[in-house]
Amino acid sequence: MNAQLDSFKYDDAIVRKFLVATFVWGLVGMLVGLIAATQLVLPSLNVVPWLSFGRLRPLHTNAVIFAFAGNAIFTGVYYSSQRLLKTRMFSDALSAAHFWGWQLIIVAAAITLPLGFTQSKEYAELEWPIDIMIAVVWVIFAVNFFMTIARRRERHLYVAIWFYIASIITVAILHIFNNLSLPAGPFKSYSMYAGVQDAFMQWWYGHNAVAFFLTTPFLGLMYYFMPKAANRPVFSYRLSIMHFWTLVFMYIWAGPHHLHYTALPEWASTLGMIFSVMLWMPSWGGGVNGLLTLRGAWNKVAEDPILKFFVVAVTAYMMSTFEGPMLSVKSVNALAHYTDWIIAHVHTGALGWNGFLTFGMVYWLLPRLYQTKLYSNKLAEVHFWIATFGMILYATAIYSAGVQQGLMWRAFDETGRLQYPDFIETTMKLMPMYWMRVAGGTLYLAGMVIFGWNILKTWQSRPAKYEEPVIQAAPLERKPGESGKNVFAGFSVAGHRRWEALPILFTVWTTVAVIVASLFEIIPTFLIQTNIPTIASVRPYTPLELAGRDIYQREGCFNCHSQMIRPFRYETERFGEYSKPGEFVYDHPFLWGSRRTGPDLAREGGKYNNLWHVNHMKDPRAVTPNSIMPAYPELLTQKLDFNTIQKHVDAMAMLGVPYGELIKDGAAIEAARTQAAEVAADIESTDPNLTGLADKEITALVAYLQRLGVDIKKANEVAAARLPAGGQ
Amino acid sequence: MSTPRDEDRLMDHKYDDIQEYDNPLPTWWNVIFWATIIWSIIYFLNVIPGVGSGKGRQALYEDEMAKAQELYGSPEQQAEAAIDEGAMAAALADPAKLEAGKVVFATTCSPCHNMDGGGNIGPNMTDDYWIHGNSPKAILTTITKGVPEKGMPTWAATLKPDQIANVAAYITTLRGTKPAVAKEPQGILMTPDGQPAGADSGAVK
Ligand code: HEC
Ligand code: HEC
Repeated sequence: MNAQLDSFKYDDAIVRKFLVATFVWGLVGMLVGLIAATQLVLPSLNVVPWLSFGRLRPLHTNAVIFAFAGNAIFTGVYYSSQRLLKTRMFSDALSAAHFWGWQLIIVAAAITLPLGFTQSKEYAELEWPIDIMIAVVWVIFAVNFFMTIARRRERHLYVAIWFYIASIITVAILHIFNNLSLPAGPFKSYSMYAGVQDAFMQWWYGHNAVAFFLTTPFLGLMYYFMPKAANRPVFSYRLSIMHFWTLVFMYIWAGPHHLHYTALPEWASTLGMIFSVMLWMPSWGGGVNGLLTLRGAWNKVAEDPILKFFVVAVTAYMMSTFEGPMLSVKSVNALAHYTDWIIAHVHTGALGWNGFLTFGMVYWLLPRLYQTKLYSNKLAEVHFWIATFGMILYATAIYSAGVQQGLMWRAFDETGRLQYPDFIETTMKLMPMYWMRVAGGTLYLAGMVIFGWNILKTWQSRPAKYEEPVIQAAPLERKPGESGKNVFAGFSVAGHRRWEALPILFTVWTTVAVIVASLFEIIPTFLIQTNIPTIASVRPYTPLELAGRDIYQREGCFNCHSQMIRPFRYETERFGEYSKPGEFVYDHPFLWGSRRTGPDLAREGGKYNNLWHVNHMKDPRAVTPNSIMPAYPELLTQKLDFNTIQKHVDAMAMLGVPYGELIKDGAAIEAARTQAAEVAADIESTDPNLTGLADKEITALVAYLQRLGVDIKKANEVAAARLPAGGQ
Repeated sequence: MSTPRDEDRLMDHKYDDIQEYDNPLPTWWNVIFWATIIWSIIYFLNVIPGVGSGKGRQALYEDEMAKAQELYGSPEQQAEAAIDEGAMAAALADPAKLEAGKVVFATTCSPCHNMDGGGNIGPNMTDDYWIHGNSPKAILTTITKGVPEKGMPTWAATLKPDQIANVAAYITTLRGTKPAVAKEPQGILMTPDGQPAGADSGAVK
């Protein structure tokens, strides 16, 4: 045997690159988050249009998810996979292409999101050219990774690798199917799906982005770095098998719990809820395996900041994966949906689980990658405590803000009237908590700065030239014909063990689990007509309204405003008749929103006159004292781009929106000009100080706002437009 | 933990020196896992009262609305209850009620009628020109039912009857005050007792 040992070296240079990127983007992403949080208490901080809240919030979420967590995943995957598979990465060139491609995507995101280029789907905001780049880079990563597996010198795959496989496959599927859209310009596209179906696809994606980008890869990292750091065996191999498969199969179903009580058919939301409940133990399986791995090492936790980070990370993971199933129970969700409770839930996961696991991993890697001692263990301790304290402040504040606002929205007085009819009153009550969040975020960010200092100082004491130890391992012998008889082997521990030696079979089964589960929900959502009863009086947006809708998307208004009234008395009293599925059939993309920082706008049309909207958009605080909405005075001076309207209407027509004659050359532009002249004339007649609005963006936006939710009032079709019954 | 000493049962594999125990799944994990599955099935089948969606969200909503109507009356009844000329007259005579009306005006009406009633989006409240009339009944009706198509919201569902009476009374006290910026007159010239001031009053639009 010994005579045949292969000699090779691990590629740690690429890991060092990803590590630095993790820190840099983490700092940027969190800073943007802090700015956005501060804008909610000091709306005057929305100084320039491209830094206003509606554009910054997606930048923050994309930066922390795809730039910070993404690079952290790649750091850990590139380091651990080589060692777990006993081979160098398949191709240094592909590794480099992956690294630079990903950073390019991030830079593209950082430029286009502030410019207002957005698909307006949460965590899938990036426009189509960047989506294509993501797909390409992801394929490069996948090829590099799977070819590394093919070249492995370790016959069986360790549990961390299972999680990496599931993540890579599923993210690819999710990304492609949620982003299917029709380009209508270099940085403009319309989702292929409309309304209810678009919402369904988006949250199938959105929830599983959390699952397969923020959960499964990090579980893989945990399975490598935690036993390494604690120097203890993993608690239970059998638990690994069980929770891996149940997690992968069940997660995919849970998306519709983001759409309880919306126009989504109730059967779908029920499925989303029960699969979320069943997900509790599969999720906790990972947490249990992590924490119990530390048995016998608890004394080390007291001294070692790395283990401390890991313990808090896993604890945060278990808290948020208990809370997740709880939040998906319909009655709890009714209170929490649209409030800051969801924001708090996400941050327990992001700050606690993803952040702390990354910090622990990086501190463990630093001395190994830079081949020197960590600059300061003390500073790592300080980082731990300051970040923990910051996180607790954040969570305390935002949980109470969420619950409090949710309760205020539903409070009735003794005469049956809303206790807080003024929406802004419920907002004002949150201000002290919003300040507390700013404080918590500042502390967490201060921890990042300390972290960066520690990285920098460690890097400075690196050796002149890194040693590259030569590793020796025996190559795998070929065992042909194995897979055939093992296809169904995995249902026992011994059988599963055989699967672990067959990566192709393993990958196929993972893919099948994910796809089959998805199709169970996707097929009925698209095929069952009765899910979306049509409403004859619902007509497509006029070309001008469509242009207004594009502005609404560009400014990210949907980050603060929902357009989906749920069937509760406290919602219909406040906002009007609840939303019907048939009202959204021309909405490419859907704009239901997920957080009501401002009031719902689903029935905004006709609530105020045009002038009110102009004054309000120009300076919300002049109309609603204490409003925290950003001001958009530039909309009154920026010229509306009439020329693109035809292209946009044509694209919508290609997606099946019945625009009839309007797709004729220039007809849509003509129609838009006519309507704009009417709207502007009305505004200018009510306030003679306003002039020349007919070719300004504000006119399109007002036309759009005045259209929202009015179609259904035209005909007496409310009865016909009941929610779909569809099962439970 | 009650599991036997796991040191005896290390799996015989190692990955980059990481080892795994062959421990069984914790019992509590198994129990809860299967319990959530059974509960979910029952919930989906919707067969046991309290576990499941019951009649479904639409029926639940309709029940909720019917119950509220029974308790507080229909929207029309609520509006009628708010058009109470007696209460408005009483408010006019009671400084405390006028003060309460002023507060309602400042928080709810001023965005469109200005703090001092001079008007911006909505009409000037200090002049003698009225679009919808200035008799107590007319003012109360405008406030409760609104003029939604012209941008005046309806208030019956938001403000309580006494608040509407108070604010209506308060508005009439603004007559003849000098607002900082007065919007041009809208409607027709009215006498204080709610009559058109005559053919020569000159309707202003
Ligand atoms: C930071 C969150 C935020 C953003 C971003 C935001 N709004 Fe608002 N919006 C609010 C809040 C809070 C209110 C309630 C207070 C008020 O009337 O200003 C509000 C109120 C409104 C209202 C009045 C609703 C009603 O029925 O009283 C409209 C219309 C509106 N916003 C439109 C927009 C549009 C259009 C955009 C994008 C150009 C936008 N908002 C962006 C927070 C926001
Ligand atoms: C969103 C803006 C807005 C708000 C808020 C508002 N109004 Fe109005 N109001 C209007 C407009 C616009 C008109 C003119 C309607 C028309 O042209 O028919 C009006 C008309 C009126 C009139 C009739 C005036 C006339 O000339 O006949 C009264 C009375 C009135 N409002 C009282 C109130 C009171 C009391 C409140 C607060 C509870 C209030 N309004 C809040 C916009 C508003």
